[in-house]
Amino acid sequence: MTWVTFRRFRFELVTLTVALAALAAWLIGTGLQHYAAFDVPYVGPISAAACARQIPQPQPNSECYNILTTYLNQFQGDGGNPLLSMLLSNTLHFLIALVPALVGAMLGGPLIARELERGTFRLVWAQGITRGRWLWGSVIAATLATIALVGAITLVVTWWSAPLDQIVGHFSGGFEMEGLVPLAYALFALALGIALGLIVRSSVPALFITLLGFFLVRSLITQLATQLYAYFMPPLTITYDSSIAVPPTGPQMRDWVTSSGFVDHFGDPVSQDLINGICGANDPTTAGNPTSACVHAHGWLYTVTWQPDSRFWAYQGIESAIYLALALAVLAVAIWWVRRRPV
Amino acid sequence: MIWLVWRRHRLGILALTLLALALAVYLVIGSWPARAAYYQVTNGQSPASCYASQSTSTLCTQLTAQWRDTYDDPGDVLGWLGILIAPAVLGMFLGAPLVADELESGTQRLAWTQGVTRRRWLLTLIASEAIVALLLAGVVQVAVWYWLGSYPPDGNGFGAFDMMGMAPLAYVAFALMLGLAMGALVRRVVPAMLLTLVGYLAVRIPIVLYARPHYLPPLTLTWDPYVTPNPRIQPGSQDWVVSGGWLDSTGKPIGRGDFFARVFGAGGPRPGPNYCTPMGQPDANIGTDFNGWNTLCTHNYGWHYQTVWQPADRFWLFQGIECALFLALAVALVALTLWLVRRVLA
Repeated sequence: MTWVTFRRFRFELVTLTVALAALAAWLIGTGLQHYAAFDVPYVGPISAAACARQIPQPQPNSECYNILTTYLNQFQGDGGNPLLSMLLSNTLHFLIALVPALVGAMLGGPLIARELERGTFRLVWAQGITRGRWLWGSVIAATLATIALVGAITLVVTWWSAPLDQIVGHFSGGFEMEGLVPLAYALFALALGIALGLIVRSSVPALFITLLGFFLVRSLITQLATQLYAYFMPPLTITYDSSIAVPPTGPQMRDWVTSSGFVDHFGDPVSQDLINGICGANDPTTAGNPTSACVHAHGWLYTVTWQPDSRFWAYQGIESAIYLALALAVLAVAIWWVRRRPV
Repeated sequence: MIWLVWRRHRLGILALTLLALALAVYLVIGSWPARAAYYQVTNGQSPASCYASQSTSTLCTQLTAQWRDTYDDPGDVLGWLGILIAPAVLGMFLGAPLVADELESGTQRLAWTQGVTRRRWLLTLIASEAIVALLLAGVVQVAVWYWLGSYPPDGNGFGAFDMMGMAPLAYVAFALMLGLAMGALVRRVVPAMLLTLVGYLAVRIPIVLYARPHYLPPLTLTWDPYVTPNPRIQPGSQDWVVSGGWLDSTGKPIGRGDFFARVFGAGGPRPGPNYCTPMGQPDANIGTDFNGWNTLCTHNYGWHYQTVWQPADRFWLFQGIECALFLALAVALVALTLWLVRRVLA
């Protein structure tokens, strides 16, 4: 059964493989440049790679910290052209993170819909095997193909974004492009495609709605994520007098700072505008300037909330679980829908 | 015949119309806060009046910096993605199924053997779909112009080349015909859609990166910043600086990584009168800017700085060239499709 599905989708599978191979070739080409620059000794024998490996992590304004900042600047945009800077920035990550969805949607949308729109299901369902077995055989084949294709490209992307992850951390780096979540995105898109194919019974509209639906769901969850994810695991917090020194127990370079700001001695937040209005426009978070001295005199403390980089896999698990649960829910709705109406 | 085209494709056309309207509304409404803040008057000045008078007063510096920090972000993911990907989406969903659907389901045997010739049937299809696509793109384009108008400092000139003028409509024409040709070539809808997306990006991105900077020979300035700290002719703020970097004494460009290695590397100069920048504070713009560098160091190496740019007054000429290029590609793809269809036996 699985083999038949692979045969039915051979053109899709071949084009997807070719397209992903082209993407992988581009990633490997640019990745080699990243890695070459990563190992160049910048100051004396110190390379960016050595700085990224340093324990404890480099503190702001240290030599290693500056080397890493410079390394990043090399690969972040050229101010002259927004398209170019976009291609080298977060938007590129966003585009790469859409690739798994594209794979899932392309396989899922037509999986059942094509049989329905062409009427070939009449032949298929009148063969020796049951309808249920045919359905599950198709779904399993499509799932295996999705896992293989997305898994392969995710390995390349993970290698490609590793230098970035070693500098800014996995949360700000390649969170949505590596680990488990690309597979979860792809499987959700696959399930959405299969479900919509069953409901609208036509491949191209199913594919269209799947891509649109995926984009909306993912944008929505990402928006919520910036607010809610920060609290899925209790965040770490530190409150200190920033006019004296930054305590070493605060967030490190690679941690995900979810919020920061000044509070008064009741613990209520003090707005940046108020601070600038009263104490001037210097950076109040670094010691040794008039603004920070004035902040100290008012008794305002700096408070930072963060998730450590070491929780990367825990958060990958949470996000994957959300998308896999959505995938199962969408399939369940589709099966209920199909059972309810006569074919 | 046009009626038939509409009957066959009304669902797709309606869906894409809704999507285009949603994008247009998003762009227009999304730019309102930036627009309002741009004209918001504080103590007698607004970012608009500050930019207009090019004032450098403390208030103006603060107002414009604040406005830029909050709003001036043409890198806004959704808007940018929408604008960059929109032509590809039209090509995928409107262009690719046009012929591929017919060939995949075998209905060309009926459709192409009626009183209307194959060529005429196809040309009517192409013309009607092209009109629909250009109308939709036109609606989005008007919204994009409005959106760009909300970010005056960066919303015009080469920085917004891909969204301004008529170039986006040429991209739409190209993407649509690419979809059509891919459909005729692989004769299967879903693979044709994927190839349209890949092909569109594979043409657009290299043209931006490698062809556009050379539509006309760029202006070049090579100088030794130690000898001439302020060259008389330099690219202005509206000009498009294509590239900038250091050249060694033989005129070969020095890569950014090599630059670091040579300046700070094991064999290079150590801290002292000869070093190029204070240790531990590498310039954030290394390789693209020499400000803040000890230029004596680069002078001793015999290095020159080179800037390559396209002046701002070539903008509309470049738009014309880019439009012509993509329209020519579109026409070539139509010819390819017609040839494929005539060759493919019904």
